[in-house]
Amino acid sequence: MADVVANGVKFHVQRLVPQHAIPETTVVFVHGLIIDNLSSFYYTLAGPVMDAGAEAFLYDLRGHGRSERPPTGYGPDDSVADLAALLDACGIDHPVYLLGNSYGAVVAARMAMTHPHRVAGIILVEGHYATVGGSSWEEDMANTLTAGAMRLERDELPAQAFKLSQRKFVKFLRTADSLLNGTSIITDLACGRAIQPHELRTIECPVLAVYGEASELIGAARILRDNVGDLTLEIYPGLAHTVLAEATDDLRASSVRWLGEQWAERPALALVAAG
Amino acid sequence: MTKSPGITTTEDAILDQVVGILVEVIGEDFLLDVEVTSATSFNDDLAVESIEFVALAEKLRERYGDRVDFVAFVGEMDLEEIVSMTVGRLVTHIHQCIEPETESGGANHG
Repeated sequence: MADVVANGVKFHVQRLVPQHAIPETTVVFVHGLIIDNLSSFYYTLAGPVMDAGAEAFLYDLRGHGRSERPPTGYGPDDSVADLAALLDACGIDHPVYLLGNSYGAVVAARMAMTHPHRVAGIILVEGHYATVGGSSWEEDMANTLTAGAMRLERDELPAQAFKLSQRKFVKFLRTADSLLNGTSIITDLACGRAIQPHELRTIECPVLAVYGEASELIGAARILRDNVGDLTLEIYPGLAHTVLAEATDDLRASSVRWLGEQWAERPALALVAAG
Repeated sequence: MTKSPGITTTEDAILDQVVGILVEVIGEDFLLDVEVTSATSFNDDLAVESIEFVALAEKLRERYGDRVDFVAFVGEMDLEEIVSMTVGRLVTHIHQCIEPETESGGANHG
């Protein structure tokens, strides 16, 4: 399966199903913003999740990777609506596990808050959930993206740069330019309200949260600790925001171990997995 | 365009098919000036992005079915190994999957 239309948008989807899959056990991966896409998970965590017996469900957020890039609909609420519609379109009605990185973690947390019956558990890698030090992450991100958008608009891509050796760099610039200057993503993110600490208390499912010790978002770990009931918190020493890229092995081990613990608490499934 | 010394006729055919899929995934413009051989690197020579590699895997599955388990093939590699893979290594893998009884002697693994 590659393209799935949901919420009026064509999404690039990869569903990786193990030969001996545990019934109704799906891990949905939600990636980060702008230059990120499902390949961040495809080569890192999807395989181990499959080996553990679950279906790995990967998709590119709207405007990202190989999904369609409509002009609007890039706020966190839109992302949650996209995810719910995508699960519907794929006929997945059992509760799923969500694994989100960075912005993907925000989408996963919001999904757990707004669609509790559809979420069995969430793994939040480097997520942000409320005001940290005065301005919200959304505002900071919008400001950063605006500066990037202005630079891209001012410095037109030189035609001579469009050579094979620079193909990846040029594609990166074009993707960033198209998203930042051709869609409402900056406005939508700036207008998106950050999840407030008390709202995190509505999360009913188990949560694994992972942060880099030196991450600028480490304050969010404390907010989670103080507000989420069933929380496993892991902080990786010496790392910043790029946990997925720089501590892939550790994150893989943490995720598979935690997911296994969740499945072990579902006796019928554990029996199938063991068999 | 795609003949390479040292690989079997069957692998030549698979190489042609892989090149056709590459054109679909990354666009003809980028391949016009490149002679794709078994020694061509996905990363250094073709600058294939990781998301394009995912699409390539998808199309290989459509073309060859479950006989070519690309996910398992790359499962043992890290991302750098995957993107620095040569076209020949992929072609040889496909050949071994679809004709497991056939010796792929002389194949250039890149």
